[in-house]
Amino acid sequence: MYIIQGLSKSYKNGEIINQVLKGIDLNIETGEFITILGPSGSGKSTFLNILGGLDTDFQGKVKFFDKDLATFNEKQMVKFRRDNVSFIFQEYHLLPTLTVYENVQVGQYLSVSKSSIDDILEKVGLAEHKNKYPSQLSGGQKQRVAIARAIIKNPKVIFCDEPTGALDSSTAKIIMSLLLNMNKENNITVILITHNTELANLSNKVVYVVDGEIDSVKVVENPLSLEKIVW
Amino acid sequence: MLIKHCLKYLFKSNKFLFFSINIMILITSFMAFTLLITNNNLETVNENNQALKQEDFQFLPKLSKNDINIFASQHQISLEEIEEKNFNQILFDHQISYRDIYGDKISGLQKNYGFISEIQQSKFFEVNGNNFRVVKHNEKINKFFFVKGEMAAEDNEIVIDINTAKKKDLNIGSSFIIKEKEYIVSGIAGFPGLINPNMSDTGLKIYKPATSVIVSFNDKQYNALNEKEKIYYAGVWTSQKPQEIPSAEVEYLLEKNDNTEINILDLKISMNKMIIGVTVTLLLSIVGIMLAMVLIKMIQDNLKTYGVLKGMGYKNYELIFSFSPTALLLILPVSLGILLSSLMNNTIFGVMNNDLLAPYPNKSMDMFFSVSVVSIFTIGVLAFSFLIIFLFLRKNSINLIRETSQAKNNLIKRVLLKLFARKKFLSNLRNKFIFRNLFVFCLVIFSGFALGVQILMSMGMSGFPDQMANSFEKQYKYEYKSILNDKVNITNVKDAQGYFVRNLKIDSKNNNSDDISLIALDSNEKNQYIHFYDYETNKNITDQLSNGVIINKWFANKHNLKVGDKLTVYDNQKNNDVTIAGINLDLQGNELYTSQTYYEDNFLEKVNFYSGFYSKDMPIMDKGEIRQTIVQKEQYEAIKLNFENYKIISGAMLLLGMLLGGILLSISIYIAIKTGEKNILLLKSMGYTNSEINKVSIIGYVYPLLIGIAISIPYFILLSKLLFGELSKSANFFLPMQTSLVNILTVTGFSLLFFALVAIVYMMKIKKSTSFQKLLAEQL
Repeated sequence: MYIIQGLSKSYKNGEIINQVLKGIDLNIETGEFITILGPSGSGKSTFLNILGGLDTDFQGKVKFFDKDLATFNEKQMVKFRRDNVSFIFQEYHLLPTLTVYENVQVGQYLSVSKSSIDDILEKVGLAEHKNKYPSQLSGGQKQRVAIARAIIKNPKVIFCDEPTGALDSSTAKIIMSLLLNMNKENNITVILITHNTELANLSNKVVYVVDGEIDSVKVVENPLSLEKIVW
Repeated sequence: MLIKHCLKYLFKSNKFLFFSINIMILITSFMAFTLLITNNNLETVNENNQALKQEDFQFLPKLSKNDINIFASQHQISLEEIEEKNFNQILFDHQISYRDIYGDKISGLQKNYGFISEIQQSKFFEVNGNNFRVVKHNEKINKFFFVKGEMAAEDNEIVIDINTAKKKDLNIGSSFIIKEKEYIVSGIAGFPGLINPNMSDTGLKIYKPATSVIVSFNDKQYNALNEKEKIYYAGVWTSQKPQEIPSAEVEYLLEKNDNTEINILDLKISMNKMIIGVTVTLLLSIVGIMLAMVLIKMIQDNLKTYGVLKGMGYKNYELIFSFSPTALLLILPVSLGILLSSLMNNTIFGVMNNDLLAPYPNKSMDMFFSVSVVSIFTIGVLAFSFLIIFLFLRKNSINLIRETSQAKNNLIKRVLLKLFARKKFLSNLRNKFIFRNLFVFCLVIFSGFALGVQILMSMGMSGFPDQMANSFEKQYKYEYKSILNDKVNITNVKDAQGYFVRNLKIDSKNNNSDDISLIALDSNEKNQYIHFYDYETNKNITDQLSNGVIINKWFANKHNLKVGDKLTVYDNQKNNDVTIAGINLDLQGNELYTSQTYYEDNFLEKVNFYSGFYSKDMPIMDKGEIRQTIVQKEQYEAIKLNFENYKIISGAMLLLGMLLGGILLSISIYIAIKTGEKNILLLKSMGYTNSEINKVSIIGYVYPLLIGIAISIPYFILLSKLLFGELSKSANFFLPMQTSLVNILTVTGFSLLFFALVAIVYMMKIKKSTSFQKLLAEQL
């Protein structure tokens, strides 16, 4: 799915050049559940933004099904995000004036297949909350709306930036279970950023990023089940 | 520290908003203070003129047969010569001065009616396209205002007007050549009695200020000039209560109020006050609402921060006082506005009043007044902002943190959303975006409203000079209007229409007495030179002259008269009721027109002679019989030129309206985008195209803009009917503020164009926006 070669990224802050990513090489296959681990400021989020087409200012090659993102113009990049990518953020980023149903509808509008919103909400356990506004939901419920909004687009890859970072352990478990099911049932590639090393045991590939470089890539033959994770 | 946060919020985080508001307040204060200073100066000019004994009225005494016999015997002139020749010609041929003829008569009039008087003489000629008016020096009335130097004593000396001195860069001792003769400038003067000095000898044609020159020589040089001369007596009342001089005593009498030349200053002052009233009120209301909205935005943006600070132990008053820098929103631009208006007022006054030949008093705004105004407004703004902040900060810290941006849709939003529910997803999403922030929604409505009112007003005003001129051109189809000196038979004048004037009084509905001129027109259908058109319908109503009197719109508005009303007119002897048969297009003047037959039937008095007549051809009569012949074209030009300043004012207002409306609209869209930036970025990250995002986040605001324009139309109609109607009563003209379909379409078209321009700028901004970090960053 993704072939990443020599990916670098630097920010200029006055005279100081801050090298965030330093020549990353990585292959990502369709249907993989990848966890990217690393300390704060290691470049995880920047890496994810580049793969998701949010950040286009980088050096190196990022090929998505043999198409180099670096060569995409703005229109092609919009189409790339529209057809292939969904994001799940730690801060949920729901539209506060839209109901749960309408927030999911924002995702549905972009998909060709137009899956049923009610079915998706049923799947994430929010069917009875569909007319509520985000301000009336708990953190876990908000994140489930964000997941529903991501799934309904029918993307090839979902990027999750600390999706459980603001949640308690039981809620986080529900969210992770939804992500795992989505990965398994729909064969959607999930790329997860987290600080939580335990969560890495759920995925089949773990990438350690330290100081803008890949420190190690660990392929997990038999990922643990959710029940075995210590939160 | 907290004050620093507020300063940073204004200057750094919201610099666009801060500077936009500052510009708006700067323009408003500049405009307000310029108008106030101008008004101050116009009134000072008026006061100066009073001090220089500006005339109260003009007149020429009427000589009785006995007076003429005495005059003839005194100067050994035969009565046949007096019958045959023009009176002025007789005086010239026999080297007799006006004082010699009128001397005794004038003394009697002065004593009987309580006034002082002085003869006023001026001669006219043209050199190289410049219109010269040579004014004879006055001792008592309409005295010259010497800015520099003194009256011409020697034969080669000349006094010139201040405008010419400025235009030609002349000073005392400079050389000035007229008709190849060189003069030395001995004085530079203003001419207060001749407020509009650019009049021709007929008193109607107004020369362009750029080409007119007013000079004065010594008496010897003046008398030696063989040019057209205008002579009249100027009077100033000495008694508190002026007495009415009966028409039997004077050949003609022109009161200050009816004198177009002198009236111009009063007209300017009343016009200026009208503009101050309307514009400043409108601008202040715009600025007031803008300030309130900005304050609310400031508070909403900082609510979470203040919730946290409150949680940390900060007290309410500490948080409230941290908003003190909001005073800068007012102090900086108002001070700058005052400074700019003080610096520029001299130039602006010169441009706007180049037809006045009085020196500019250069009175600037009183420092104490300026400081007081700024202080009062500042205290007001601070008190207002503190009150709003206090209302918001009453809640406990946790509620302040929670409430930020997560509030569910309130009842108003829900009703609006239901009302504007759309089937198409994007249209629905657009509505959700628009109603997301009712503050921005109202702001856009308000910008449409402000833009609409300003443009409608300036368009309404710009049509005023043309409307005046057009109504004149449409109604008065004669080429010449001749005013007769005596009872003359006009049947010899080809195709003439005679008229008879009686000066009467009326009592208005408010019990105010008012002078009117009742003009009875010769009912000659063939030679009907005056046509009347209904003010509302534009229908020809000339035939209504036989059913009563036709009045003009200003007079009708001033006395609350409508068609069918009865009006009591009276002179010293008796009262008569007349019926209002029509209201015509004219916008000023207290002339009431009727037909000769209606007059004769109603006043039971036969019209045996005419006061004057209208004709197509230049009348050929003995000049002694005609006092004055007015050329219609000259009169038309005079009216047009008189109101030319309105075009400048309306142009300035249009610019101002565009600027303020534009700034307001830009601020609205800016706030809309700023507050919805995260939503926009979210949609962008999901793969929404720029056109979809534009549709959802910007284009939808065209609806509140149109709502604002729609509200501005009835508001403006109401404003023009009520406010301008009332102001017209105290002014001496009716300022029509018509709202035609063309005006409405222009306003709408212009507003949409402006919206498109602003929208394009912000669409480009959205297109370029890739700052997804903002979306990903956790906010406090």
